[in-house]
Amino acid sequence: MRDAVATTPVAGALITIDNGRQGATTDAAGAYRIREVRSGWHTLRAVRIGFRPVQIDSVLVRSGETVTLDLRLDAHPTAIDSIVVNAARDKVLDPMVPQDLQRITAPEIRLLPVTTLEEAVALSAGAVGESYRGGRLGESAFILDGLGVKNQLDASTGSLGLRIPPEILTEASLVTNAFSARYGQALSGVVNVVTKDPGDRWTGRTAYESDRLMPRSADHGLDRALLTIDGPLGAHGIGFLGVLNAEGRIDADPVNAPAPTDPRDPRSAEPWVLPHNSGERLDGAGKLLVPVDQRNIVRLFGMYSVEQRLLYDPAYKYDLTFAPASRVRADLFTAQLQHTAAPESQHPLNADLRVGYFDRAFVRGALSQQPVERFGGFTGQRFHFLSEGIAERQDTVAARAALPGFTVPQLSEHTPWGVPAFFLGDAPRGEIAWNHFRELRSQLDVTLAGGPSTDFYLGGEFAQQHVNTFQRVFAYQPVDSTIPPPTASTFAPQSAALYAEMQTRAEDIAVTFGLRYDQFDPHTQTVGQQFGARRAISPRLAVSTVLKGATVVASWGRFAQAPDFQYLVDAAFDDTLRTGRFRRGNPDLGFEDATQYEFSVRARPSPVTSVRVNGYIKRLDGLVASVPIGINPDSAIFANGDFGSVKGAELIVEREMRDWWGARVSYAFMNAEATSTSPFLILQNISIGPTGDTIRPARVQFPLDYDRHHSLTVVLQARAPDAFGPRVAGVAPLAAWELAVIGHYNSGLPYTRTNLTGDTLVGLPNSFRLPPQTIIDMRLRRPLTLGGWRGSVYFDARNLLNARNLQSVRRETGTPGATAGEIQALAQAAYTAHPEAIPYESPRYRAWADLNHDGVISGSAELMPLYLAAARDFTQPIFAYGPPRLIRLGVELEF
Amino acid sequence: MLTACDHTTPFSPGAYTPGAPRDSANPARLTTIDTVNERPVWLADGSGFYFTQWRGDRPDHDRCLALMPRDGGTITREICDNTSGGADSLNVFESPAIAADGSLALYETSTRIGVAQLSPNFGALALTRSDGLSTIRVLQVTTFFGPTSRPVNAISNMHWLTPTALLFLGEREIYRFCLGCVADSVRSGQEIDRIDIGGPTPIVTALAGIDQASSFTLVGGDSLYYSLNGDANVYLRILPSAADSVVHTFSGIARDVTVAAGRLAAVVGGDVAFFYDSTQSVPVQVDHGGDLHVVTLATGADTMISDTLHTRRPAFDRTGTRLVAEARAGINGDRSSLWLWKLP
Repeated sequence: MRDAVATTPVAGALITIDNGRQGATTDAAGAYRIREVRSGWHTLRAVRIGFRPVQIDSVLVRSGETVTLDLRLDAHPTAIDSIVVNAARDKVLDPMVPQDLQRITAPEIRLLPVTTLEEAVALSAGAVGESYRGGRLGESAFILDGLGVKNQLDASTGSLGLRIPPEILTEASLVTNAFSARYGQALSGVVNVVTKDPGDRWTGRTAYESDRLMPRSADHGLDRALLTIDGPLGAHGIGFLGVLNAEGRIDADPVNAPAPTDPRDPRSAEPWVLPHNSGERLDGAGKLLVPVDQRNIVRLFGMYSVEQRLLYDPAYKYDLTFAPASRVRADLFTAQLQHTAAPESQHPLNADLRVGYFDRAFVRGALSQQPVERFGGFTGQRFHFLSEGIAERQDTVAARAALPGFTVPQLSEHTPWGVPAFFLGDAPRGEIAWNHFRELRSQLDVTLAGGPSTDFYLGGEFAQQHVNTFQRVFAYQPVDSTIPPPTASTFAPQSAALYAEMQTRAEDIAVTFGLRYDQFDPHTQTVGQQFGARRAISPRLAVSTVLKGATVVASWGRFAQAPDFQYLVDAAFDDTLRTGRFRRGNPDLGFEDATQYEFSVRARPSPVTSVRVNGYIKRLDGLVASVPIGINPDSAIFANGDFGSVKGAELIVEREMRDWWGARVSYAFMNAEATSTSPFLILQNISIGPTGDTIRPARVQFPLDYDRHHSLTVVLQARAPDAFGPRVAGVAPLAAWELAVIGHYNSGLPYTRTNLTGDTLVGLPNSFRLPPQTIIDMRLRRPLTLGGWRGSVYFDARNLLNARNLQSVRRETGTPGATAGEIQALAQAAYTAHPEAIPYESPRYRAWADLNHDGVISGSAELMPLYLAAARDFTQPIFAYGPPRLIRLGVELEF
Repeated sequence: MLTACDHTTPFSPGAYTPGAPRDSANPARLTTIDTVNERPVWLADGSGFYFTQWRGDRPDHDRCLALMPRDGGTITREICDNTSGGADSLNVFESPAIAADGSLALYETSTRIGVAQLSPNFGALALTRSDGLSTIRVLQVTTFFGPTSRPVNAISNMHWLTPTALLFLGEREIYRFCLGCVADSVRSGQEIDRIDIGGPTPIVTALAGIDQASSFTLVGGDSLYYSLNGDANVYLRILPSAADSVVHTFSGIARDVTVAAGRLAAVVGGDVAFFYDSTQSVPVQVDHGGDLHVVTLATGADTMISDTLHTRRPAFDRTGTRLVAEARAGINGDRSSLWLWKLP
């Protein structure tokens, strides 16, 4: 801060933001620094006796960035105004930001063709869905308003359960090197989400989007309604923010699979909308901001999410009432006490004490009663599952018998083909899976200023968790030598962490050093022997500087995360048609580790463009895999046996939104390998014998499941000026349109080939690749003002070109569907199993197949065409393909 | 036609069966293959009838109850043993009796698969619901020793007497061994029993004075028409008074009595033999079918409507105008098809 006339530094000026909640005083050089400011818009005020005060209403602060405001105060109030030079420190070149941070703000989310937070984050370089930098699912941490929220039970196979509506976000960011020692429980990335604080006047927004107006197959039964409101409660600065998001889909998992060629197949009429595939979800959240005094604020946040899905199972294509369903419910309640230092403080200390309670319950199985869809995909009913009560009671004794309500599924007689083959009916598969995860987490974060260019970050956390699981397969049969017993577990792990980090800057060199200590103790009293706590120490170091206008960052860090708790307990699952599979839980599992080396360069070729290049190597160790027990291929135990490495480079070129357009191009290359590609895959030495010799290499690595070698994402945004185009009847129809287009090109993910029987690998695991994918998404928005109300209408198209992207193939052929030979073999085997004639009165009788019209379908000549048609139907590659073109129209209103 | 408020409806399975009867002749053949199609029992409203049918498409080859429309055509419903205990055994459902409140009584036998044996491992008179086998209550396990102190090995001909009482035919099962033929078991009627299920423990009693009953039917709740092994008469017992009378005398052994709307049908003569089995010391009637007779009760007029099909177990609908019966086939008479006679 300087005197506007004398240009000398102004010392002792008081700088405050948001009515004095946070602030600082200028030093002798006129410098000031306010730390730990929440992301979002703030009001800044500067006062000094003898000078004219200055206030800036809209200062945008974003996570991981330093905003610089140069102020010039006028000592002669009647002469000139104070001058503000708003020189935001360059977010690209700032050497104090060592992280690889890719951010998406709320306005961007609103403009882009994305609906969920996950979709928005997935636009980041290095992201493959919710896998970051080649990591397995669940190797990331989700930070909501500074508090970690993680489904530690089955993050690698299950969802978080919570879905934060993007409409209440200030911003979301992905940190792919997870650098700060503040964050743990992540090997691959940290998703950092900041929600809005309530405003000082009541505002709201409501929106509805649907595809009801789309013709026939383009109508997937989408309805989504949203309501957000926020504003003050009373005159004491208390504010409330609430959001309600309801979404229903008749076809919740649409696919772009080709229509069947046989006109008798009912899917040939409407190939895109699958039955018994609907879903509904409800997300509600509320936030209360309560200023305690000038220095302390309490934020209370509560959220409830529930998603219910009917799951399309091709085997139950003609007996849909027996197909499975699932429900995931999650609650989150957090409380934050934020203390900010007085602006006059020479060594300001800011502290945040957070407490969060997270509760997630999951159940999948057969419904005891089919719900009725009342409006689109909405049923408004809570799903009830067969034997849900036994699962919740974890009654493994009662569950050794056949569970009530379950009967033996039979081969369906409701197919167009009639023959007893492939398709099931009469009863569900006999699976019930249930789990419940609860966590009470407390966390303290302290920021202490060590001087004008040094900050200290200290903190710790403690989490008390509670895990309950239950699983039963083939529930229509009592447990015996071929039917796995029910599995259940109850235990209460504890985890704790401490961290310290220092960030200092000397001239253009910034150094960040952090140390994190993690500990977890499964406390698995009910699942086996006690093994005590496991510990990990993770140092992290980053050095950054500016060289010839570019910022160079070199970083090194170790990361550790506790394994999914699901691997500590037994797992029984049905992955073959013959019998259940079994994995023994291992309560002695330790941390999964990673060490990452990274070098990045950031530059700004022009004032509106930036370039970032990252190169990294990440060594993975102790990942969970299955280790065989004895020679039984179905018997294995989870262990920290897997290791691997990820190498990659990322290039991000961005043109900020200036004038009327902006663009962002990101390219990522990666090579991710490990010795086992999944915790459920058995570690084994692979024999390679081109000459007939058996070679058993000790350290063979295979591509990880999300090893996408090349991915290119292009984001284009444009906005027509308000006066753009001709005016017709006083209206400029082409003005103010907003267009966003996202293009993706992704090389294929790896997959494993097997022989025809599926029990022998062809080549090494994941040594084959799917074809590349191309997707273009688009959103076109037109802001409107009607009678004093502001709003907009928008047209949103995903996969605009309706590309038929292959997402999986049959492992034995490498093709999406079965080959003619496979179909013939399947049909022949089915016919051999059931060569019996089908009489006229049977529900299996099909007149068109009775070639001699004798009232009986008999013999190979009449039965085999039916078995062939059934085999073709059953092997249709429905879910081998990604979603088709999805179009929705939306309208929103602000008030 | 879709409106703006509708969504596209996903595909759903269609109706793939012809539905309509195939055979319009009289009599009409209702089942097109000689396997096991037997023991028809009409629904009270006459809209169709249940019968026991062999299911070769099931891995356990169960015999299920199938519901066929009144004039034949595609089976509209099946009741099978899909319980966990049923998957490893051949389960037979037969002789259903459906009460007005939907209670379904049936006789179930269970034979372990893969073990050669002549008789079932388990048999029981069971009570469940006609709208779903959610719960099954076993009322009486066979074999049991009835009130007459004779073993009852099997059960058939069930009829609801009251909402809490059933009548059934208690049968004796014997085994026939011979040189050059397939060993087989034979069920032969023995007594008419009553089971009261109102209390916590079902109580079985026998109708006094009826020995060697081969079949019976209950009309109007109090008129019991029955036949006896080796006997050409059809008898009527008025239950309240226990008074017996001869309704009609045929020219051969009469059995498989059914009565409706003043008409009586029975199987007469044919391939039937009544003898005393000296090895097992019991009288036995071995029946591979006979001629099908219809008698007008008011006049006593007797009409033989089939003498070529080796019929068994005819069943009248409530109007007495439709008669469904088995036509026996196979070396041991163990195969059958169903036929329908439409009477004026």
